[in-house]
Amino acid sequence: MNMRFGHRARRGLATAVIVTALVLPATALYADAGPAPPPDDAQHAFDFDIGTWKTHSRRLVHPLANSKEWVEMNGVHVVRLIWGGRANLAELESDGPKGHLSLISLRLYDPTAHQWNLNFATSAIGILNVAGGVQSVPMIGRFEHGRGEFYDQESFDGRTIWVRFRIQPLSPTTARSEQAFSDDNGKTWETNWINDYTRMPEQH
Amino acid sequence: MRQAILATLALLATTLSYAQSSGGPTAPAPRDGAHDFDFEIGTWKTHVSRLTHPLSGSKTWVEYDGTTVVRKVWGGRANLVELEVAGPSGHIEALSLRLYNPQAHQWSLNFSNRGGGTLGVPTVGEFKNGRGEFFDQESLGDRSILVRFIISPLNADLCRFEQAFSSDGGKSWEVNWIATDTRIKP
Repeated sequence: MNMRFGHRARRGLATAVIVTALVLPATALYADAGPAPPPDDAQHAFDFDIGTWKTHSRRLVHPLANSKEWVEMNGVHVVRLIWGGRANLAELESDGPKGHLSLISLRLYDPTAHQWNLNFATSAIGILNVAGGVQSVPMIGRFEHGRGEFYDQESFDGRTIWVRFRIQPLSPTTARSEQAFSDDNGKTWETNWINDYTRMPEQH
Repeated sequence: MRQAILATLALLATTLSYAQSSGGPTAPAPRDGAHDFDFEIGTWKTHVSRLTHPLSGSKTWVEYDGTTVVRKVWGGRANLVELEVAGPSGHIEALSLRLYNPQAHQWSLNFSNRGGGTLGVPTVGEFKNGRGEFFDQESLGDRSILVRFIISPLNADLCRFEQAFSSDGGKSWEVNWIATDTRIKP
């Protein structure tokens, strides 16, 4: 049953290889010309987040639909240190009118790129970086002036959109993160998820 | 470009044509594997033997000793492994985030080491008869190879891990990583 696709698949593969060969140099040409690496304390940029936080979240129920219907959720966010700060695992357990959300985020610092990559999963799906039922990629970015900003491209309602995630400490005991989508390649952004964090006393 | 799209459509069809067949009369009832990693939660003493140049005909192995800590996430449906070992040829700090996909009844093992700081392709599989087998396709140098990872709990306090590569589509395998974990504490 699959054999009849064989010939077309092979021709397509040859084309794909040529396309890859043409596309590769675009980034390979600039291999030595990346931006100057930021100070090495970038690997400690997430240290502020380690600990246990009470969360209050607002979620836009229908993003990119001109809807103004928001729901509120309350939960607990626990962030554990890995590799002395060069990685961490964040676990969010949150409840709202639409049900319970179990979300983890594994954040890794890439010391070669001087960038962080944020990898998400929910317990309902149990695969990293799946968005809109499609295998996606980590969000990638860095901290500047104390605010982390991370981007990726994902599938949403069958369309390819841009996703932006921002997180920043507001004080030693409070922090905020926001997720926004863009359907016009970053010209405009619609915020759809706002999390306010309040640090809880460490429990021993 | 159009050929690439056609190829994509053709490749998609190879799995799409079977989309209806899962759950057919011969499909066995999938078992719930959400607790398959519960046995490993805890702190372990780890001994590692590593083949330094896989798929090169080399027989040079190096030894490492250290610890492995496995922490439960989501009541067992995920866990985080932190491995730290050292030996004459260096120091390895690695993590693996394992996630259970309740639809597919499969685990994905997402591996990273501290020096790289990115996640590779997940190794995917399941436990059968008390043994976990996980596979993925990766690049080694310029070649595409298959990767197999086997987890064999030998008793409640002893577990063996084995990674192997195949460059012939899975006909033959060369083992390049053997880890033996002995429990220190729950």
